[in-house]
Amino acid sequence: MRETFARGTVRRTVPRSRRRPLRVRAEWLFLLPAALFLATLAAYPFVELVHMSVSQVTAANIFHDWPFVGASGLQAVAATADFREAALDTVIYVTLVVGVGLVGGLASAVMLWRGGRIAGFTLALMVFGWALPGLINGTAWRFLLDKRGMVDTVLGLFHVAPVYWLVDNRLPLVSVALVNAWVAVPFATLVYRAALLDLPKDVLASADVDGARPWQVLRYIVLPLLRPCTLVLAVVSLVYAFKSFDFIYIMTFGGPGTASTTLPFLSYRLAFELYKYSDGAAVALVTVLVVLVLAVIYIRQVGREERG
Amino acid sequence: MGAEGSRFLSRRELLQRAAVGAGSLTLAGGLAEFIAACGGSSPASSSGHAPDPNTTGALTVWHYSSQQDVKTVQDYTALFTRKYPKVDVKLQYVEFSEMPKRAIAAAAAKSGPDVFIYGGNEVSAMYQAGVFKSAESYWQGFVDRAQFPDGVLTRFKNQLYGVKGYVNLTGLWYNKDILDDVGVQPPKTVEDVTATFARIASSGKKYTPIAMTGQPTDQGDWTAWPWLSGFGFSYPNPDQNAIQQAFSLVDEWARKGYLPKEAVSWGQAETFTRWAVGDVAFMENGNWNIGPASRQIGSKFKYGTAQLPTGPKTGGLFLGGEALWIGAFTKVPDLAWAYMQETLLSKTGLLITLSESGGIPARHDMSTLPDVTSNPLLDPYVQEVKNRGSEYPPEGGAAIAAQAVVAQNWSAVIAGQKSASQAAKDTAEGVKANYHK
Repeated sequence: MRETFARGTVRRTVPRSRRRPLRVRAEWLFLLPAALFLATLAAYPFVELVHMSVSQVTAANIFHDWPFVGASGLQAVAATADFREAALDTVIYVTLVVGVGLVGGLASAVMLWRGGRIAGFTLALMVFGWALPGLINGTAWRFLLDKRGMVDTVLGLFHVAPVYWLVDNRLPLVSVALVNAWVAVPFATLVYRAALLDLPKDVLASADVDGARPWQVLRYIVLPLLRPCTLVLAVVSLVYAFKSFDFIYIMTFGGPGTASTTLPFLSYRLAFELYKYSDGAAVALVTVLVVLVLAVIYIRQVGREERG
Repeated sequence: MGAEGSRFLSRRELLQRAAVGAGSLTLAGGLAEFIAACGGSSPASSSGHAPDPNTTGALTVWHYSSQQDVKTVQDYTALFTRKYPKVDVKLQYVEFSEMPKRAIAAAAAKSGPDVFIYGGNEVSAMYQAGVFKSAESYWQGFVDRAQFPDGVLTRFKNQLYGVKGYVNLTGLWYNKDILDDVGVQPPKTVEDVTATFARIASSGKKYTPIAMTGQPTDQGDWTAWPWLSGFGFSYPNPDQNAIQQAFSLVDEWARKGYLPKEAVSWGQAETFTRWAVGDVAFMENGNWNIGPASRQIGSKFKYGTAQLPTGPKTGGLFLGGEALWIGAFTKVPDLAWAYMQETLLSKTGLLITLSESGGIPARHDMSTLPDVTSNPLLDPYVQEVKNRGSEYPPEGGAAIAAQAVVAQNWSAVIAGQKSASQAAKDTAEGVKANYHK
């Protein structure tokens, strides 16, 4: 047996036919826990979701055989006014959460860039708000946005008439989305701040020497350098916003009427309020497919980042 | 009619029998006899399933009584353990709207509690998913079964599953101090309502005329039902004109500020909390608030209850209340039945409910008790049961999806999201599409 090493030393060799299978088996072994975890908690539920969405499932047969109906169930649900309204609401909701989250996160990160005690304290407070469960945040904001809540009380000091944040027409959807964005901002701040601290100091110093004004530094140096980070953050925020459910459940329950019913909430209502399991599954499937597309974009973007 | 084989009375049947019964019944005896108008008496027989009082074991009970009224469930349990001291009763709180989902999920794993205390509108779905065990054999051996009218029994395929020991329904609560101050009386018909609210709103005292639930949930549907049915709406016959008249009424109240728009986010509990502040003249809410009102309002202001105003077609009121059910996967069905028997089916248990939350006992032999007949807060409810009670869940639970349509549109009108006419059109179409499926 001969041993050779890459740098000219001897390395132990084994016949090719024996060596490769061993390596493959070891790799699979390491992957097994994660694969089992994913198969149990992601793949199996997804397969069941697809199965349910192409079947006729109600409370009466949920534990029995599910008659196959194919894509007709999905088509029927997609043709309803409820689905169209929920899809539109979802687009508005996602746009607001992602838009406000990214802009707010960037603004906060720039303000907290230099560090210091106040910055540290502010960041800690923001993380605290972000880490709180949606149930707590949603309930607190529901009281804050009530007609007799703090927001309207403060506005009243400036002679602003009460705003029906969670009641009037489209405003509930916007209000809940902004609260959701409020929670998304700290995460974006953390990511942006980390990216800002990682910016090449020499480039920033050169800009300073060349007399660039702060907004010019931001516009022509910082933002272009943050582009990869922004892309990844945007995809993560899109996924987060698209599957958001808890704030709507707590703050408006999809109402008034159906004014703040997004696709995830419509799916919940169909499946667990009306016991139309297959209809709920069909809506959930649409949501999952959109999230999957976004996930693929995210993975490709991360791959590009890693390749430099 | 509802689920296959369900023997719920239809609203029409209930009202017809009520009309026959109401004429001949006195107030004292009217309540139970009204509910019993539909039910025949059965000869008493001894129960053949009563466990030995020295039985040991554990019993799990799912309930949704929040901290405010959990004492009632604890008192039921004390009543049970007095007779079965060696049984360990585990009370598990499950949020009201979550209970059907959790129960169905548990049934998938062939598990669940021994006893459910549940009075929502999803019993049909729960039954279909195999959550409940039939209590028919126990019921046939129950000595006091003749005391309970058919109106409080839930049957599927001619088998008894659930029994409501008491009934709950909505009425009109009023702040007497405000009414005296403004000089108005509780309205008796829908024609009087808006005028009364207008006088309160224009009194210059910053009073809010009324609080009620506008949530797009079954609580909203529960609240809307008296007004809708008052104009002739029913689930099998969702008359658009009737719906529009009811929605126009509530639309006007919301637009003119008589009903705060925030009502769309209020459940029944929040509606009570808002009314209890003291600046709201009326509240549509249930008799279960009698206990909390005495504890929370005390002498802060004088208050009373009245029957909800009637519409041109009178209108119905859902007869709610918590029923007891045996879990399908219980290992101790005899103990589960014993729990039902000793608590919400017994006189002592029902007196606990009556005194602590104002639940109206359904037993015939309790209808003449002074606790029932001499309580001025309860009396309007007793009259409502007698004259306008209608089955809940409506149509034996077959109208869940249609109820959601009603609740969403009710909520949308109060919020100003839809006009009364648009909401009426959407409701009529939605109910037709969902009820007949």
